[in-house]
Amino acid sequence: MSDHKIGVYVCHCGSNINGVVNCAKVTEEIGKLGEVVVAKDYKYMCSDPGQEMIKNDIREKGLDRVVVAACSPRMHEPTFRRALEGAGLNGYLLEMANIREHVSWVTKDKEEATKKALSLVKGAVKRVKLHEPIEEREVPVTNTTLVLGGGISGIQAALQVAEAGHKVYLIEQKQYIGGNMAKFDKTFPTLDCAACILTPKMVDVGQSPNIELYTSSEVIKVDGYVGNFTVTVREKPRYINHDKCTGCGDCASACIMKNRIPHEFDEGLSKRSAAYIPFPQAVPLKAVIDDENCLLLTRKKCTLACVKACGAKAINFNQHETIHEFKVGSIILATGFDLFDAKRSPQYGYGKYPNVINGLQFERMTNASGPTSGHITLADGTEPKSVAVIHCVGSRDENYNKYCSRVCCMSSVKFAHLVKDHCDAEVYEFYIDMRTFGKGYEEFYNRVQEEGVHFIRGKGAEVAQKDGRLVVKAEDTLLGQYREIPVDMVILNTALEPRVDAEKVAQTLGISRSGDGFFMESHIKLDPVTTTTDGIYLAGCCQSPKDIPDSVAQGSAAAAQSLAIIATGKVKISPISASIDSEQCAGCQICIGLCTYRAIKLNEETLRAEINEAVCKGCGTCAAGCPSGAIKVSHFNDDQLLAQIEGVLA
Amino acid sequence: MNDKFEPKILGILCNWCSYAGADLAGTSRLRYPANIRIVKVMCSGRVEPTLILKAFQEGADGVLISGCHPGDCHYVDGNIKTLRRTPLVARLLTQIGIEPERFKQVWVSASEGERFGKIVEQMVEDIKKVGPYQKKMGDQLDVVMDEVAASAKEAAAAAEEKGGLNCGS
Amino acid sequence: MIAYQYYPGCSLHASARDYDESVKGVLGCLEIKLEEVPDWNCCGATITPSLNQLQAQILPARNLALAAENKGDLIVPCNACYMSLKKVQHNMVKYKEIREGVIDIFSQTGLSLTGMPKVRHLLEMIMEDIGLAKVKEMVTKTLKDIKIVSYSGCQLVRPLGFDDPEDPQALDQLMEALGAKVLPFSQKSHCCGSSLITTQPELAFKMVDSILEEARKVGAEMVVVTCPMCQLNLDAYQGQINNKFNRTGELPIIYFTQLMGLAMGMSKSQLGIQRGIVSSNKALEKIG
Repeated sequence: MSDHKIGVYVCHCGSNINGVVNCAKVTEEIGKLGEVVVAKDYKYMCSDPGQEMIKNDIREKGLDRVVVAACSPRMHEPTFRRALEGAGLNGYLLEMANIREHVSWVTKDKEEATKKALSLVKGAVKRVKLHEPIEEREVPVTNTTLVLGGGISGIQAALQVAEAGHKVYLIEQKQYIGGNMAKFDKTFPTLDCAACILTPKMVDVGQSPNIELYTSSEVIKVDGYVGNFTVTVREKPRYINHDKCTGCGDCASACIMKNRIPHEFDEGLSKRSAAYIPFPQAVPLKAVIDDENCLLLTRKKCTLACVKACGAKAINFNQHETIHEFKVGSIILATGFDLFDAKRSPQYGYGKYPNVINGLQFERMTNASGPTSGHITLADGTEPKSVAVIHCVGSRDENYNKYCSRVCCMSSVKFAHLVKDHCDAEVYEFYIDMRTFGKGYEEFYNRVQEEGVHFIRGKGAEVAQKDGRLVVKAEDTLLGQYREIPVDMVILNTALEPRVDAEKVAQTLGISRSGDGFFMESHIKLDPVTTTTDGIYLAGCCQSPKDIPDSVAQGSAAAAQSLAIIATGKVKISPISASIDSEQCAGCQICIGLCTYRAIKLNEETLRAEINEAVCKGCGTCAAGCPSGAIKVSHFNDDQLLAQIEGVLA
Repeated sequence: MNDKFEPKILGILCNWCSYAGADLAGTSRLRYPANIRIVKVMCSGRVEPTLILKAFQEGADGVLISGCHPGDCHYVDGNIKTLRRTPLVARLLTQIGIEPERFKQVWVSASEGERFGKIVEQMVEDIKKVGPYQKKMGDQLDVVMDEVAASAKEAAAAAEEKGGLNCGS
Repeated sequence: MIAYQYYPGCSLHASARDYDESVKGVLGCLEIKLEEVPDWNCCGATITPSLNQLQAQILPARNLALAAENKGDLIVPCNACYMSLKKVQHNMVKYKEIREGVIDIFSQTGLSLTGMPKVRHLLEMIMEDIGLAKVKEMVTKTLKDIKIVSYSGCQLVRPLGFDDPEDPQALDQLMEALGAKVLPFSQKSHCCGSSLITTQPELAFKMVDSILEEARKVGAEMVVVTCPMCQLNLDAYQGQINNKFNRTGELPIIYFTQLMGLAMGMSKSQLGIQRGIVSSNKALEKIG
């Protein structure tokens, strides 16, 4: 084996690395190692001049291996690989040593940091000698997209991709699209009616020739990789023939269970029947039969009043669930949020006192097509004379969620305005801070202040009952006084939380979640809509709490990601995969059972195992289990790892 | 016990969760001991006993393996195979005299930067209590490693002659 | 015979003698040995930290130093003593300056601190170590659905403490096991005003009144407490407070161990029940 010509580049990253690690010293020491012909340090290796330095050295000094000691490879490995390619050297002949995230940013003592950095670079040098040129595989991209979640972000993403002329499968768990926004009354800061701005978009979705809408559906399996996903979707039966149903609602009026079942869309404030229309503007505007409450479906006994009432003969109790399989190029996750259950904070009396409600319930109340036809009423039907709005219930709280839910200050101020608009009540806002940050938001806050709403800077500590009235107890920190304010109604503005099934969805899609439980983005500032799993994108509140403008923006952003790979028609995927040396292979078949992707099969003739490279993902589990050492994993071979281990422990 | 003893720990971290978690510790500027040297693999399922034994051979005082939490593995269940292998490796190590404090297998997710730092801190503390890895064990280790390699080659050759082993697993 | 160390605190040897009597009686029945920490001193409760931070640590810390490291957990019947001892234990582990300050002063008096026992409230020990099943077994005279509200007090449930701070359940469950009817009570962990009853009576009276009025409103016949300070405020000042706020209806304030003793067949005098200022006689008639 002839000697290699290794170039080692130690990056200062400004003072991020050099402020702790003595880069010059590391460079000097590394330069002494055999086969290292170039050892340089530089302020910003990822910059143009930095990359040029590497390219020049490759061309002029004939380097055949490169080590870059800098930030995490998860940051700039692609950058430096491209630099190598630019100089005619295969990108996989590069190894990076992470001396920023793993050394300078976590170590206080400079000497220790320098020592550690040197070890890591030595490991990289030993490893890179054993690297081999690998070509990245290019695969074609299926030009369809699957959008999971039919709320405002999902709708926006779907419309964007459809308008570009490509097919979209929009999968929604509920029987209607529009998500949480469909329940809102007016939206801040313009006080546009939510239905007015949402309905046109929902109708567009329903009418778009490029969007196939599946409601009452959920994703149960995702196979494949970017450009080539196979998604299995389970569509629950509605027991309604969509082609025949006109959405007239006669079945709902006739149903025996009329007014017996708490209506989810109205957040429990009204009751519905087992056969029902979700809400008057629903898309699709079709009836649903609730299989958990319908007497025929649960007890096999009913008068079938709905069937008799249905003029269009659209009811079909013989419907079954349908399993669909879609082949798509990318998946956009837009599954939204759930609200914090205020019962977890017993001091607010939610679920105990009838006039303590949460934000979504209030939205349904003020909504003209809601359960009270837009009137703000107490449980006894009268109008409140005073209303309290408590901020941060479940947010900014060590006991529940440490984060701020971003939208509640604005919605609280909106609630105050709506109360003033609909009735004469006094409004008391109990807040910790006022976060009205967006376009038109501060102006809206000022306007509501001028409407005579009382703002009390002190988190509502408790809602008690005194002399038959609700009382909110809080410390008014601006007055420096404890206050007990009697009110008729309390609106709890609760935290936006990840959906209850977020864990299951993340596991099905194979993506990570952040510490707070929301889906994790690739980079919180620079890459908020992609995930570390290529081809799976995020939009809306499933990534973190946000308002409608931001949800729409992210919907478009995720669509752009999807359209980008559709536009190029092909995408490069990781070339890391395993292969079996049939001379070493003993045919024991241990590897076959270890592969979760079933990429390994026994060749019946040679009685040796063989790996299908197209299916193999390169995890290396088979290689670790092979007793003969017959399996090689490109770029993660035994010899490469052993060399790196030797080097870092030197 | 030497007060100045600073253990050398090899950390083998999976790319998708644990390595990202260690990166997060860095971007969050959390401080943890510099004793650990990290080597990346794509999946914790890639880790075989050879790598661990090599570490001790090269003078590591401890080895830490870290992967995604069960259920979250990027490759579905590579980490479950790691979980299966761990007790066997641990037993092998104690049989050749390597104290249990020196080998640890954990799950660290991409969002658990702080936890990663604490795990390293705890491991450094634990290994300081048992002291440096005794080099003389290394000789025994070399013997074991060579024997394993030799017998594997023999078995492969013998099977070759017989026309392949059909274990029918 | 299980043995624990015991820190009664000032009240239990003086104004709250009845609590001490009932504790010793009940634990005696349960065959639990209590060894009082020798030469214990006042814990300083909630007052001393406002005077001098370091000295406020010394008072309770001395008790921890006097208690043996390995003679069983330190059981504390008074909420304020409990929280005071737990806080100093936590502070000494967490804050180097406090630990060093305390050890420095100790060394000047020849006191050493090598280890500390675990500090637990009496209610905590009964729920966790004895358990409801055993308590039910020992009930010979059920409390015949006497209507009570359980007032855990605030110090018991503060951070580092025991049970849910907003809606503590332990005392409810214990009383139910004795056969009492426990009524829903929103004031369970609301402060009684503590020593403010002497320094700021206007304020403390209001706090006590909230508690008593709510208890009356839900129909309670007795208020069960776990702390001698709470007992004093709710009991001794009840007359004055009722007058001030024009309330009618007396509420006897009884220690949970006294009710336990009654249910286990002990006599009223054994449990010091006659020492309560608002008499419990009428309320306890139905138990016999």
